[in-house]
Amino acid sequence: MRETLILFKEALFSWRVWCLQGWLDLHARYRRTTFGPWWVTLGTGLALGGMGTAWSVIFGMNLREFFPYMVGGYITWMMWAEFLTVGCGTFKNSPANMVIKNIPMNAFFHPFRQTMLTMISFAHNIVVFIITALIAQSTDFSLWILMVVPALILTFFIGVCVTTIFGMVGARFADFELAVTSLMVFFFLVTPIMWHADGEGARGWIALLNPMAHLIEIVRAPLLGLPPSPISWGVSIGLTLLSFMLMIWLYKTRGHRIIFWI
Amino acid sequence: MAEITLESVCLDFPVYQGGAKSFRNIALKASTGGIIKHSESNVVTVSALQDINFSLKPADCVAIIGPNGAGKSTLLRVMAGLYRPTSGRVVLQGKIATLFDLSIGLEMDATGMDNIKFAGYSRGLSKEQIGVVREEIAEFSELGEFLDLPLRTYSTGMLTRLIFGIATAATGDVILIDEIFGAGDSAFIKKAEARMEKFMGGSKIIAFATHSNSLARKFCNKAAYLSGGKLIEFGDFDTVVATYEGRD
Repeated sequence: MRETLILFKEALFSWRVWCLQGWLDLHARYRRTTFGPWWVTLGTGLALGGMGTAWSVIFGMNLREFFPYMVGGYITWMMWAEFLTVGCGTFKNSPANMVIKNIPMNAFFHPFRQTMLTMISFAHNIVVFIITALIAQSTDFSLWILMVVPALILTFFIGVCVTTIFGMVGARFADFELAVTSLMVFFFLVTPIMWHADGEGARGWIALLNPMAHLIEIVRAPLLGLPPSPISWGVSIGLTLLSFMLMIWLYKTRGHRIIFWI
Repeated sequence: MAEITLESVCLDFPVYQGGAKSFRNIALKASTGGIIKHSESNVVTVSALQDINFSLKPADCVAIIGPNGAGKSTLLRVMAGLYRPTSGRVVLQGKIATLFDLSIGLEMDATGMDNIKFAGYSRGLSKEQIGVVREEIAEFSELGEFLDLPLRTYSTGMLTRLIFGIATAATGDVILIDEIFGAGDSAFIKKAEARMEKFMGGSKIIAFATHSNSLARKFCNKAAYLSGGKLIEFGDFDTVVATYEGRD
């Protein structure tokens, strides 16, 4: 147990490596393009712009209130979807698999790198939210926005844990990644992103029982200038501790087998 | 003092294939209540190393020789700690440096300089140390201004020089080298050998998988002859090589 914790700490402190590599990875995705990683922003912006146009023009909805809420939730969701789906390939995809087979190196480095890459994408997507908020002029800017910092730190941390767990299971079972990908649309629909969580009945309890709802809420609320929800923070911190313990246990008992799985 | 000892090391290689790797088996196993047993027997096991014993002391340079598939690369990877032995143990004192597949971890779209920086960080060098090796690598690789261009623009030879420079920049007390002198013209090989001598210098331990006897003879004082995952002979270089060459 101690050894695994020390390895985790070591990887955490070699932040220079995974920050640089996360950045290089993102650039590699958009190699030789003029806009580079800003395609993340453009892609998200165009998709959300399309939805906004369709709803306001075709359905005649007033989106000033709703749209910043949806964009904030949507970009946070995209980050989570990437943690979960791309996370399955943390160890088995290149270049991690080649490094694992050839360089004696702390394997926790790979989830940190993977999570960093996703967080940098998210940082690019925040621009879409800022533009939306500026156009809609409906969000009250308040100091609660500062809560986005602890929220993102917690998200990064749980992201690393989840990526390690999903990366290991995904390396061992080829079906896992496909199962996760299939579940994504389901989770997108049952998470309050396109709809509000408030209200009685089904809406309320679906949002309460769905862990994704809380993980998204802690990031979205400060973006909208709203005070943090104690329940969402409680659930998120609980999930982080749980996934941290699961990760340490998995790595301690099965970490040395990763090389055989990939 | 650097030292590496292998005590009755065995390595069984599980091969997860088809049925064994699918999620369904585990899911079905649970739902069928153990009537149909898809156990670990679905995993084909290859016995890659059997009962390997030897010990290396400072200034030992051992050539690992043997036919294809003898387990040379696997043995090096066990020594590096990449594979955990199924039984037996590897006792290591000192820092490991590996030269296995050299192109690992290179980012073809990043510049030569960025790659040096990244490789340095990932091998645990500090910012200052990276500054030093950067000069060294620039000098060795003779890439000049090409270091500011992405790797994909390099010729194979240029890439080899850079990779070799990077790989030999980080040093350790125990150096493990897999067959690496494939590419490169004769001028490069000469240069590479000179750098190897510097890299290997001092009281280090070197293990070296190779098919090239001339190269091994130059560096090595010991040899380990592997065949079919077993250590046939270990000892003085000339004696072991004589056995190896005299085999059926």
